[in-house]
Amino acid sequence: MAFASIGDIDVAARVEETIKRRGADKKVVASIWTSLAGAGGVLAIVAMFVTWYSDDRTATAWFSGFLPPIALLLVVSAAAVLVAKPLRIVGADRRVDSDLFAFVVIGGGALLMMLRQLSRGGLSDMVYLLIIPLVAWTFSVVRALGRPNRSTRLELEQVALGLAAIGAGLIVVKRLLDPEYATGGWAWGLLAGLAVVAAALAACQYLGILSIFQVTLFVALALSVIILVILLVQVIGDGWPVLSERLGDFWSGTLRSRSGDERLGISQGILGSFWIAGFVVMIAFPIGIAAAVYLEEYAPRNRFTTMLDIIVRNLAGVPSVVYGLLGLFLFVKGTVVTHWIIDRVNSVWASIFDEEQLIEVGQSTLFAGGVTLAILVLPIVIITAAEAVRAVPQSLREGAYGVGATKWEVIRSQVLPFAAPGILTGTLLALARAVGEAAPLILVGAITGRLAPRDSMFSGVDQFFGQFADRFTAMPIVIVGWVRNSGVDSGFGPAAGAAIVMLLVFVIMMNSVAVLLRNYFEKKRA
Amino acid sequence: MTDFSVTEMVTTTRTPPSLSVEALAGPQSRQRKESIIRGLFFAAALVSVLISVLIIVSLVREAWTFITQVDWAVTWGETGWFPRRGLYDMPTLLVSSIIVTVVAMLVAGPLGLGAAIYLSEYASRRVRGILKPVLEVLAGVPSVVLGFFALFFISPQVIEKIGRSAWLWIGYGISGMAAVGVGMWTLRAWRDSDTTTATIIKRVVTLAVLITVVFVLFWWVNSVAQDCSPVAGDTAACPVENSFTVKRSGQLAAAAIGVGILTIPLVASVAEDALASVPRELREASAGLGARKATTTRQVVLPAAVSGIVAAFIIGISRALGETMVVFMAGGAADAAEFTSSPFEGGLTMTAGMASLATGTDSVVGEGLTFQSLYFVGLVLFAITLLLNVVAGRFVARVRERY
Repeated sequence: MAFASIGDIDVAARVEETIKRRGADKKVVASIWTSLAGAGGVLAIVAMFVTWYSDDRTATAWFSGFLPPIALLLVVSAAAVLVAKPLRIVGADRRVDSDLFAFVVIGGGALLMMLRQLSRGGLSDMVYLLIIPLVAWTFSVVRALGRPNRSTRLELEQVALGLAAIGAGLIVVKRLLDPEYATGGWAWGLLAGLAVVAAALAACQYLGILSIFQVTLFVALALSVIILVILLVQVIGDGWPVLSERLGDFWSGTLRSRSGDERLGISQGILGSFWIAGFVVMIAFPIGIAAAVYLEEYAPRNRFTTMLDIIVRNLAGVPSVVYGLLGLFLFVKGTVVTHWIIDRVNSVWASIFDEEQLIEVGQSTLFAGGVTLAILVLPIVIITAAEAVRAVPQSLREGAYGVGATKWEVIRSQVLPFAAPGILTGTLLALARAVGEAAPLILVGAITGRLAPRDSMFSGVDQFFGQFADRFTAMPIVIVGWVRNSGVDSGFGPAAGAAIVMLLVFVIMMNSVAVLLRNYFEKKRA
Repeated sequence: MTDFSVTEMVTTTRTPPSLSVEALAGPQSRQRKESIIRGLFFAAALVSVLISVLIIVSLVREAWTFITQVDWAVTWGETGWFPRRGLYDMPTLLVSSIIVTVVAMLVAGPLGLGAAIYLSEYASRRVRGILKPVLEVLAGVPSVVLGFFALFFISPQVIEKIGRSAWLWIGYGISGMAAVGVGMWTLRAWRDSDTTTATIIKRVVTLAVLITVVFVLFWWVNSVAQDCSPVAGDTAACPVENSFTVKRSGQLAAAAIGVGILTIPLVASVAEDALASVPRELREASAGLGARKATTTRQVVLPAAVSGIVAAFIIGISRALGETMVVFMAGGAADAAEFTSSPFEGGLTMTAGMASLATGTDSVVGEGLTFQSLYFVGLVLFAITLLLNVVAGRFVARVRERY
């Protein structure tokens, strides 16, 4: 660094020294602050879960009447100061004054709470709360009396916050060890809240996030992750009794009317979902990919194409239940056209086999459900496939044209292979969506209650096709049925949880594979 | 190396056989194949048109029967949705739908937008690499799972615990925020170096007034609550029949939070796209003027991407309106619902009403127009979501045009 020397003072050395000192200062502060607040925060979070799951009435019955508002006001404004200080919302000048203010406020609030508690005759538990104002006061008095050496100074408010966290933690520990022990709802809640804020701030400082705006954003993102984790824990926890005790039976069992039934299980749901996925693969994938290729490669730029594009996009936004209405209208109620088609199919069927008819109008069949879901995911397949095709570099096409390939040859030999990973990603996402979708199937009339098991699934061609013309169920439908039944027969709750775990394993696996695939190819081609 | 000159090449190659356009086109069969394939692809593209037409035909045809035959008195009167008894009260479904959508967007809006801003503006490669896929996994969670979660977790653990005293919590929230405001204001004033007697007196008076206001607010909330307050006493002591009472087996609020969670990834991804389309130059120019990152984000990037963010919200609303299973499972109503305007009671949204009408029966049965009522509700829902999607599309297009 090019610093000039002014007189005897070596500016460069001064600057360097200052930087070093401030760096060390910050490091010490950060480590103390992070460890204190982190420990307290973790304890507080654990405790929050504990109180969440326990119906502790005395915990909320601690304060009453006149005092809480004042105490709350004081402590909340103190919290505001404490949060504001490290974030430099409050200026760095005049810090002694604001420190004093903060500590007087928090100390006063805690003292008022203590006095109140004293007047009610329960002091012993307050010892833990006493630590905080005492320490805070000591610090603030020291600070106010003489300016301590800057280089060894700690960020006092952070230490106080850390101590608050530890105080909350201690209360929590005591509470965990002694279930009869009840702390004051508000005081504890505030301290725990402070500790959580402290822990979050510590984490933010650790991650290098320093503005309150950024903290808010990060919390928003982190909450989504936390929700996902809670969801998984809850579902697995609910389904655990079934998963751990009778997984094999559950796998091979069928729909039953009582949850205690030994043969209760999801085999029919899995089979139904499997065939629905089959319909999606057979119908939606070819049509969707072909439509995407048409839109991207063949379609002239005119109003009709624009209209097609708009139609596809809007179809993707149509609520799934409306597709259910379509399926109900087309296949179950039956229109003139469907009647005609079904008559043809039946006559062909009758000419091959001896049975009278294959499909009956007015019946909710696996065929109806499968086709409805294929229609539902078609726009998704088109949109994702079109995106993948669009991403194919023009030079590839031009190269192929250059050696004399026709349009279809270009598409087959260059465009589709290059777009394949993208298309595959889209199709996997669509498949996962179809397997998890319940609303259209309910409308089309999937069975939520008892479904007679088929004995011979693959014993003959007519049997094989016959099952498409039968009543059906699917994994999400099984889950819905059991959840609804759980109001009457609570044993269905765990069964539904276990079924969800099965469904989630499949769906999340598909999604993850799709996402990983996409990321892999993005990275490879970048 | 570069000895080949153009003239040399021309002289050394023999004159090629004259090529006609027909010869270049190749054999007839090749062309026929081309046009057949083109036709097939075109037909595939037409399928989506066919589907759209079928949806509209099916909805309008059945809904028309309903519209022409129904006694309109039973469709508007806050009497409740009892299709099997011939009571098709639309406000019951509409109000529930609005409640669910609003609460869902209260969850999904801030969380989705916050996540989008963080991912696009702040996240380091590593954080992004971890959190983005998690968000995408959340997007893939089937709605029945969220329904289960809403019924067995959100309803008992969140709504029933705060729902008993929901208005109290809202009161405490407002007064708490007021208290924080007072604290912040005090600090700002404290920091100010202007310390004439007049300003000090002014501040003290203002502070006193503010504190009194906050105190009265607290006192009022507390006294309204009496024994039912989480501060003043035992929440379990709340009388059963009061406005805080929560209905067991699901409420609209629980379902709405579930719907909101489902909508977060959608809002986040659309909003992130909008933020990503804001050109780098804007951010760099702002930084060049000395703005902090947060200032740049708030005052440059967000305004530039505002139409995309609006689009994200609209798409989120449309999705929340169309979400069926979560409300069906956790909404707290079976196949009929009384009119309610409270999120803490059970109810049926438009979608859940349709689903519940169709469950458990081979075909939709009931009084004469039950089947048609399904399509009438469907048509209303379809029209609303279509409108929202078209509007959102406009907003997205505007972002694209600008940058």
